[in-house]
Amino acid sequence: MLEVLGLKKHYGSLVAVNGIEFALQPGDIFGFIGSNGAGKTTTIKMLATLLEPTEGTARLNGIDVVMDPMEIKRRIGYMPDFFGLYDDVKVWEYLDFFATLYEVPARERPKVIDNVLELTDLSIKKEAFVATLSRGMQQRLCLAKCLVHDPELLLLDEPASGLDPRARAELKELIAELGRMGKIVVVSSHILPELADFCNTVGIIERGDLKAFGPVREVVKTIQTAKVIEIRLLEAAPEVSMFLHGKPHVTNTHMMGSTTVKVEFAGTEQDQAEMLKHLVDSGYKVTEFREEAADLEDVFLKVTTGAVQ
Amino acid sequence: MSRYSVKHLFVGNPMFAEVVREKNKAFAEHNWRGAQLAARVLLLVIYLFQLILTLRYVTYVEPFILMYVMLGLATILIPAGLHGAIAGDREKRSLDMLLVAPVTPGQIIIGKFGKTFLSLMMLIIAVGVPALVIELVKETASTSRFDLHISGVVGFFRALALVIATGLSMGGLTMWISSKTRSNSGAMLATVGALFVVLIVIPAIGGVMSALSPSASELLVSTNPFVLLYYAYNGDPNYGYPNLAENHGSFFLWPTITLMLLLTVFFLTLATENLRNIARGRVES
Repeated sequence: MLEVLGLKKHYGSLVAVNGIEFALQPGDIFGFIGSNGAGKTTTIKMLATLLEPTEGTARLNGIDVVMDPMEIKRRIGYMPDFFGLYDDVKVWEYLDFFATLYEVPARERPKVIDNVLELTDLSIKKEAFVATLSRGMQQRLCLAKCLVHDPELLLLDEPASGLDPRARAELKELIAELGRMGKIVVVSSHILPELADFCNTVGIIERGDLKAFGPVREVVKTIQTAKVIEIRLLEAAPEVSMFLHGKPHVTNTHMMGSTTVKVEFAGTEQDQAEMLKHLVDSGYKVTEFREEAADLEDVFLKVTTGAVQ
Repeated sequence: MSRYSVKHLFVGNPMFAEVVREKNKAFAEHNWRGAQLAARVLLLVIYLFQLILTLRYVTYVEPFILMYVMLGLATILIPAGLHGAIAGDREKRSLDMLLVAPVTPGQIIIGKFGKTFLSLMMLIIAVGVPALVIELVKETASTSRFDLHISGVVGFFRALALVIATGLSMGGLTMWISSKTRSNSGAMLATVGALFVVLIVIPAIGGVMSALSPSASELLVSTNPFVLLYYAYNGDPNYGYPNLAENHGSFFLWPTITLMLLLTVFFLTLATENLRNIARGRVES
């Protein structure tokens, strides 16, 4: 279990992270969302022992990040947002070097290297020089490096930045697999669709404050005050907007062209059904009636103001 | 705590894997192609050529000259090989990967410093061993074409100790500079600057000072490893300074070697402290 307890980082008068708190369980894939400069990397670096918190701490299965950084290092895998690899050695030599640093016994190293290469789909590149790998493969090699010591917590800072869509999809699948293996995965990103698919928990950070935290559904539900219903008609009816305005539970309407109207609706599903019936009874030929699902992007835009430090 | 003891730096330090990585890098197949391969073959041919000539005309060659070659190479090769030890990782953004591994900053510094021993070992094999062979041949045959006082194998090992101490202190200085700089080129420039000061500016000041204060001048000049090497090998303390033996004699060699070893420890401690600050985020990586 990862517990983040009042983590603060100040640089003089600048508050980079302002006492954030949250807890994650094994198997959680936590999407850490925020604009550039919101405090994601600072938080991740503090969890990775690369930055001393000004106040507060974090514990991984009871081990304190501030008090026992060496033990924490044995239990985490960290992938920075920008990183370089030793590119004039072979892929397996690179992993062997880090496996040695992480005190993987010499006898087990070849098997461990084979396993992580298989998991990251790099087995075919085992004998290749790191310099010859594509950006996506280097990203996966860095992830493989993070896995050689079987860490309990993975800290991935913007892991998909600079990847093409295919490499991005492969990385998402890999991270989901790591979650299924029972690891706690913290993934930061400012590209929301990247996280929405595979994270089960999200946290939204802005100017060092954790604005929202919890399972994706709950966060979306908490933030969403009104649902949006899109109604499409067979024939043009610009007056339908006026017709719906003022009806029970309708808070706002917008015409989208001459045949489509978007309705902000605060009622229940029963109330929705009543409104549809009312429309049809009034002679409108409805071809489509659907609730627009709110996504992380909507939630993010609602929660944050766009301010950066 | 045991992890902060001196022992943890040398016993079971996983960062010694760095030496294996360097070896893998040096013998990487793509480093053995084209111009790189040609350069290495050329170096080998030149080395073998001079080795054959040396052994063929052994009576004309004074081994201490080879020790000068070794000292010169040590002062160039070690800084050239080590200047990017930390700065290169910072420039490449690969330092964070090391800092989150369960190794202390001291272990990282010692692991990277291991390359100094590799360079010294290569020099000893390439230059020191032939010098020793010649020394033994000369000692057995008691021949020398020059009127020099040859102090034999003991002199050889005294000179070797000086070369090793110089190499280590150069390595320590370079590691410290590397830990303070963020780019390979910056570290290279700073290292060249430091060597220029240590090997040229300070002895030059010593030369200039000779008119004002002969003993201070002697002190500065005669602690220069290139001056000391002659004495170390030949046991002749009068090289360039007639009063040297009377004033200071053999006091210079071992104190200088000791000073160099202390400087090595001092610079490595400073480098470790710099890396510790980087590791805790007090200095940007």
